[in-house]
Amino acid sequence: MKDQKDKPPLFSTWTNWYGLVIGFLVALILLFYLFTKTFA
Amino acid sequence: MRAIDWLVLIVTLAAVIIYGVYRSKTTRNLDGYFLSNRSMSWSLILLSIMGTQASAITFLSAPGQAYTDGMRFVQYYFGIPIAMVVISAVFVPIFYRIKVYTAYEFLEQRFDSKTRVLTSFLFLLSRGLSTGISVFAPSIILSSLFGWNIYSTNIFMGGLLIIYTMGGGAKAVAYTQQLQLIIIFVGMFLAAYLVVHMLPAHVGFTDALQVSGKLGKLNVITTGFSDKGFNWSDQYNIFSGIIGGFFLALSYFGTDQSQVGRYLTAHSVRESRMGLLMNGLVKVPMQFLILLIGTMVFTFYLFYKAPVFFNSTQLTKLETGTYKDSLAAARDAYERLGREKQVQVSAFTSLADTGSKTAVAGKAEELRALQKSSDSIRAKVKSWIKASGGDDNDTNYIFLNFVVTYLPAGLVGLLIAIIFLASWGSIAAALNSLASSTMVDFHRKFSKKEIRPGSEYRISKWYTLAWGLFCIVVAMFTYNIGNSLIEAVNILGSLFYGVILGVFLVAFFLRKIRNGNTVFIAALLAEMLVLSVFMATQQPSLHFKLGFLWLNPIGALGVVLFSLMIHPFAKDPRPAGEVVNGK
Repeated sequence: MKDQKDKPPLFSTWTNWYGLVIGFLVALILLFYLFTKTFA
Repeated sequence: MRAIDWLVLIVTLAAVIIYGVYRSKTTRNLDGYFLSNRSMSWSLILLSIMGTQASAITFLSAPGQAYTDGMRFVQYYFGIPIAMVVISAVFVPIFYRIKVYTAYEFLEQRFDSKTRVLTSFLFLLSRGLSTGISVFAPSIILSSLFGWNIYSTNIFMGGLLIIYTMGGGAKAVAYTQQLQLIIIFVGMFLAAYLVVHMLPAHVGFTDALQVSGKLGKLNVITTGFSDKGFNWSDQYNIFSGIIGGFFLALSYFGTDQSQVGRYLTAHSVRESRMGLLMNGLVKVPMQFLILLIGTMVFTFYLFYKAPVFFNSTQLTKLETGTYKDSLAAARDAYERLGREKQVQVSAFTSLADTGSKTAVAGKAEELRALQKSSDSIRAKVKSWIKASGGDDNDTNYIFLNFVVTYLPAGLVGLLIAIIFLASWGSIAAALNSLASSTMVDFHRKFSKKEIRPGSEYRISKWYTLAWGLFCIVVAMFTYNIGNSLIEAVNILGSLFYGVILGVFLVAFFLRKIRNGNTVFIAALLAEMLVLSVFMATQQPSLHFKLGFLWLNPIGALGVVLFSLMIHPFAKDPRPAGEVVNGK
């Protein structure tokens, strides 16, 4: 049985957390792109 | 500095030292001293990881970098979230399963002793020298600005933190980093608020963004492509940031003991992973905000008199040299342009609210022409400073110049304290990791006598002190690095990080390679390749230019490729079942 202490918080698997981190980066890059386009 | 600033500075630093000493109580063995008995929660791990990476240079250079080159520097951090995911998924479980003190111990179990010793040695070399630079970098800036003696500033910068780092090890480092980061964030927030608040009444935050954007400072995303194709010497663009930055971050967070030592103190794989992943979420926005402060400082100086060069020590030298008449003329011209810009910026902000698009574009064009003229005068002054043998880079002085000249009494002391605290956070973690690698990878490994846990603890404390003294000595001998100091540290890291990472990549992903000689020779060849490429970029006659971030993938992929090439000729020392891969 998998150690309960190693279960991730909020999500059921770590893969979801990894997806969140990468997805957030992609969203940030898109926002930065729009920011650059708007002001620069 | 005024009396109130001195008071704030001394009280803040004393509070951190007392807190560090108070938190120093730990078990008197290696587990307690280097791993804090694996007891830390993810929030402490997160702050410790951030406090280790963010040195004084981060808070000094980044706003200055935005002032001179715009916000594109943020792209350098794009590789970090991806690296956090890879380290959480692959590195952390293995480090925990085989219960290591240092990352390099794993390499002995996976390959052989000499591979562990080589990577640990490369770490000690690069981290020892770069920590010395981390002591020197803020010291030289403070001594130039306030006329403090550079030697005593170095001792205060690199010496006071030894009091709690030597006594309390990893635990004291983590708890003081937590307090340091809280103070740093409060101070930076106040500075950001005040710079916007001090803009003229008719200029709001969005006006400031419009102005700095039109003058090329909000170039957050750049591609590195021009009419001539991709520019490989361009340091910061989305491709070098994601690819080069990923390899640099993977190496730094995954194989540099100063970082590995932080998340090994977590009480479970879960806490380590959460600390790393949260760092992947907050690091890029945090750097974006620090850089944004730099663009606000840029806009601020469009309305207030900006010095033609921000390092006043270098200007004073120029005033008495052969360029004194040229400098006086340049200053007059720069001030005249400054006054013109002030009028034009006010006109631009009024137009931006009410005027037509064509009128706004026309005014922006006029502003850009004026800025170009100002920049060319600054470039001339820099060339005179360089020709006189001085440091022509004032990036690190821009933000501090603003702080010292315009911020209210008390806050200046707090911002100077922040420089010390940010330095202490990263230096303390570095000393702890240098001591752990020296103790575990060398002393304990090569000592013929059996060492008792109590003795190991005492010897480790002496190693911490010895490395502290070494870094102060390096700082004393580091003069006139020339380029931006943040880049100097990163370039130094890039010369070694890629190769160290390559060894770990072979260990983690190429399980068929089991011969230690294979990866050892591959690492030496790859290091020679990296050094050759770097030296080629430094020879103007070769016309070969390459951004330093690319050295990381070259080193890492070099080890992987050389290992694959040598592998068919190497004997397999152990049956496949004996391979230590953490499973």
